[in-house]
Amino acid sequence: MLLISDAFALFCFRGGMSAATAAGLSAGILLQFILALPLALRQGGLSSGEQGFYAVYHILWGGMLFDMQWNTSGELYIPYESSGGIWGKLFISGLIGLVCIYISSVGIKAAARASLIAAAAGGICIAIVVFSALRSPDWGELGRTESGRSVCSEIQRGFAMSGGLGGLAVLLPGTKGKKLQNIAGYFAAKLVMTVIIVLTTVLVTGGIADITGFPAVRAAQLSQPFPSQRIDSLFMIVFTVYAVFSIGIQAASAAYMIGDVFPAAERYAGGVSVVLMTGAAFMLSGLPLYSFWTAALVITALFAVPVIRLICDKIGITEVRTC
Amino acid sequence: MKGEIIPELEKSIEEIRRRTGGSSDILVNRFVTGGIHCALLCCEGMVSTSVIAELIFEPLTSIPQKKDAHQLFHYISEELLLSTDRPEVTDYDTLFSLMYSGFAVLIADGMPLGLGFGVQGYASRGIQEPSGEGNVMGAHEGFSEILNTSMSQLRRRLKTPELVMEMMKKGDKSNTDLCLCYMKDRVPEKLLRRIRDSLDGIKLETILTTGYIRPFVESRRFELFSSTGTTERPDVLCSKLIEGRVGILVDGVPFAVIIPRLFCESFQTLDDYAYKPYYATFMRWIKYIAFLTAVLLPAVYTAIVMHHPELLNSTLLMILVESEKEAPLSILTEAIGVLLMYEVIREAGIRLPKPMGGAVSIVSGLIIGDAAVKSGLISTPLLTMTALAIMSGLCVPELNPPVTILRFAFLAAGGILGLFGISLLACAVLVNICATEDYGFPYTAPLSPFVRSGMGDTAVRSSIKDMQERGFTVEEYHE
Repeated sequence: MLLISDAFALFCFRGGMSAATAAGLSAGILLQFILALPLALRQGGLSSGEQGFYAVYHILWGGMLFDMQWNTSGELYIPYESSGGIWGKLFISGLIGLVCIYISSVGIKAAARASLIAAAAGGICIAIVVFSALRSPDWGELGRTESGRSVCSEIQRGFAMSGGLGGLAVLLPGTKGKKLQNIAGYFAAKLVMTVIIVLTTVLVTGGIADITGFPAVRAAQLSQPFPSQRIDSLFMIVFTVYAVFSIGIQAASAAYMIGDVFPAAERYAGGVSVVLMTGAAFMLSGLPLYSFWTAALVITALFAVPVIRLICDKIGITEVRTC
Repeated sequence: MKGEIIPELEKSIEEIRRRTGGSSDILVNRFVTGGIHCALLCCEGMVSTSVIAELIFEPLTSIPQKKDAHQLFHYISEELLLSTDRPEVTDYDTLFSLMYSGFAVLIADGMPLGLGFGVQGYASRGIQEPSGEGNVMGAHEGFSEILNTSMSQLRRRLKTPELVMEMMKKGDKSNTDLCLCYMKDRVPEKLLRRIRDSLDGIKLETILTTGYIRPFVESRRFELFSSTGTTERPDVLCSKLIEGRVGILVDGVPFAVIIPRLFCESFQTLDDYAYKPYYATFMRWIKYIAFLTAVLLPAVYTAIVMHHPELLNSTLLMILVESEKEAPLSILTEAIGVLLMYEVIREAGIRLPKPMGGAVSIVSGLIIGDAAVKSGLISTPLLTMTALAIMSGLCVPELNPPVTILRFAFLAAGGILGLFGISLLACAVLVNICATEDYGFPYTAPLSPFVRSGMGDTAVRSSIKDMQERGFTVEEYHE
């Protein structure tokens, strides 16, 4: 479920990409794993304060994902979107929003089950794109360095695009098995997926990686397995499915917590959260996505809030709700 | 008010006549035996006249003189074994219930109760081959409309005291017998309790098909796929009971309801377990592909031709262009038209009297199909695609209703919004399927939530030995 959100953020990745990006993002993932360790120590469900924080967090991150979808979908051919101008874009985003409302209305459990199947199906499509991209790779591209970007700045970018990590804090108490194993498994899968997507993108886009707006999308468009056929639509399917589930899961999580904090609003919580996300998307649309503040917000959700909770548990002032 | 049996015979018969409105199928046979005035009541057509004559009338009429009706009934109960099923009747509601179920009821002057004798002998369809669940290697018998016969078919296959069959009556007017079947050592106690609660909540006047009770044992949320299944095969129901599921038999219906039902089970047939595992696995994957083909093929074809022709190679593209340029309608309209035409023909084929079936085949196959293509109304590739989708749908007959609706929905989505529309609708449908859950059993198990051990009878078909060692019960999938 969280991997879908991470993959979607990579598809919407803006700006240049190089081998240093892969290194920076990988180092960031290792750091994220370390910061996530306090989550494994946490006992019980979320307190009402945590629920309030994570509800706002999910709405903000959902808004960012909406914004990413709005910007990136212009790069793909979607019927009626390209020809319809702003109304076409609104129509397409509205349809995605409707499906997200439906996902949030059926709950996190169903969304999690569905996302597992969607992730597997999407994984097959990505594998085809990667396979076709790696048929005649130019390995020399891996040595190319992007001007003006260090590993540290890539780590910051990695954090800023890992908004799904807030979901880890929310969902971990409900997972089966050992928490530490689950956390390690998730970050290992994220590392592998990130490295594969970034390196494939670098190998395919090569010299134009710096000037292209959305390198992952461009890589999918450039990698074609057949001489007289194009498989861009295959990537469009993955993009759509991952967009729907990324945003839908944020909406479902936010709706769950809104419903828990305000039981009277439980019935409309899904619709309310999607509407709030849309508002957040409009508010955040002009702001830089990969900023220090976005990274700081992710670190707060992943590390600061669980640590504060652990301290509160230690001194016995936590009021835990069943979550 | 149930109304206790009136001891005076004439008044009692009068009361019966009053309650039944003088219905002409109520037979009252008056006679005197042992010096007591009696009447044997039964419902015409519900009892076996030969059994009544031989096993009831003959012994009853040769009873020696008795002091009173109490002594007569005591004699009949203790010394005459008139039938295996001999309930006592104390009120008129029970009397009517028994009479309408094929019992003969004896009442006597001076006796405030009656004696029922099970002499059912109504005409019924015999045990026949199931019409909708074809099978090559397994048994060729299906359930019948008679509940007792269906119960005996189960008992013949599971000769163990662990198999429990609980009878109950539902339907205010129909008083239909239901039979709850389960293996007491396998069924999850919570599941059984919750199903009983659901059945207690049935408020119906009549129960004429399994469809009347299924809404009461399913979730109230909108679900495209049903989380309860039906089968007309006793061997299939037995296999489900062994896995810890619950079956419900309904009198008058040759189908059993199975709870819970999983999505993957729609692709399993009894033949899978008769063939070698490699072949069964191959056939199972054919069915998975057929399901996807049935739902998506017309939609994907329409979406590709209308919105994403770059996905096709140039040769195929030229063939399609050549065939479509003559067609006067858009591909989406053509596809919807062909599918609607098929649905009309299918419905006509089911509802029409059998002798007219040949005429339907000729009209549909030759006149409509051939003429439509020749006249250029429908292109040949489109007809091929829709025919393939329809044939694929027939591989999984149980899922035909949702497949039919989804085929149209995906077609509209693909025709209007291309692969984007199909992807979007697929997400919504996938979430709906994954949200289908009754009594804590997710419909999509063991795929999601993923249960590795469940793959042995889902992704592949393991050997019977392996499956026996695993000792699967449905509780493994409970969440």
